[in-house]
Amino acid sequence: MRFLFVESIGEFESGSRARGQVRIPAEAKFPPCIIAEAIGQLAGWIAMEHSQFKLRPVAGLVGECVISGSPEAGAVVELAVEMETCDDDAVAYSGSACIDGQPVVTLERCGAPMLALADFDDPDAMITRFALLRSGTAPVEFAATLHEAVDLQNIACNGGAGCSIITPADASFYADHFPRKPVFPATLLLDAEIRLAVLALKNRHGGRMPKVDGIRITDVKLRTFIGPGTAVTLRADPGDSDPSSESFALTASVDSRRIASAGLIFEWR
Amino acid sequence: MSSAPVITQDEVSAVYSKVAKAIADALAREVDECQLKSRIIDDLGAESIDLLDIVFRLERAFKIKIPRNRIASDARGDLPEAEFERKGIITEAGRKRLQEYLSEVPPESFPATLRVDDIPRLFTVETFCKLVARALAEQAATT
Repeated sequence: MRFLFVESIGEFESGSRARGQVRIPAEAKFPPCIIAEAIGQLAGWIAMEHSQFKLRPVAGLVGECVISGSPEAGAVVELAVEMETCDDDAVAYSGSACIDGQPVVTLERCGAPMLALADFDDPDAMITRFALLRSGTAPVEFAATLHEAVDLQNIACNGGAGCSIITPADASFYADHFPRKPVFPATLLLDAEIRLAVLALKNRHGGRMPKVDGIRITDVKLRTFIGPGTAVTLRADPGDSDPSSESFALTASVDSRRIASAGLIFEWR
Repeated sequence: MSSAPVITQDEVSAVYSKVAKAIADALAREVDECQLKSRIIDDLGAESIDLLDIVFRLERAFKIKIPRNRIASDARGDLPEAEFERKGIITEAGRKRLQEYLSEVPPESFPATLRVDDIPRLFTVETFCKLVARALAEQAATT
């Protein structure tokens, strides 16, 4: 299972904006975090092209991610990104993923430092792939399910919830993320955190999951890369709640050092 | 000399509350903890991603643009880069320019050997207030 989620790039304005597309394969199950990853990857292509493939952004900040739908197998997802800043030091952007004109995931106020592309990927390979994406002839290489890519272990629910995960020592997604520096994808970390928060929410409602209409993830911050075979402690601690929403503070730590954090709000009518 | 205009205490005060809130939000701190003299890294625990977060938040809050490495380039002013730093170490002339520019940082905070990468360790909340005030003044001058 590969980890490249932009199948084609249509409209493209260097350093400024782009539209792309990805079709969810028939047998795949895509958690919304992977759709967010696709938006981020489209922003990555804009940034890499603008730097003549010398630099690439590596995820750091997401101001807000709104999940309002879950894409089904076979759906065609239209991706759109607008860059707020695109220079050799950092990028800032917002984006969306829509199905039949309806947003399923939106990202606001995202930011990432720009790092040397050659530390992560073969620049020539990226140039070639970009050309294929622009021509609409990039091979589609992902077909396996991504859901529950990481097992939640030692789960404990007590008001909030905690668990541990161990990032796979060897997984096919490292081949793309990244060929020269395997990094556990931040979106899979976020997916694990969301699953933990769902368990916490269910626990707070007597084992029954409320009918959630939307999820907002706020102030996502990733402080460091997570390598293969790393033990990570996750927590979802309850925050504010009202009749139509409940929030959790999400944290991820390695050896007692906090390496990622976010807020998550479940909303219902 | 440094190319940047001198910022008055009134100008710092005018932007302080919004700057402190942006820094507090970025670092998950209370606003009260973000005093003018608070050092962003050593007192408030910021890491490199936090500095990016702070700059983005300030740009949005004040509707300004803050070019990366603004502080170093403004401090250097008309001093050629080769006379400002050599092999990543700030020269004596560069150090003097930095101390003039970062006037809010006590001289004793400047280590004997100052590396370019360590410049952010000198930053205080007041440093960011001055950065914002300069950007606002430049914006006003061009409109």
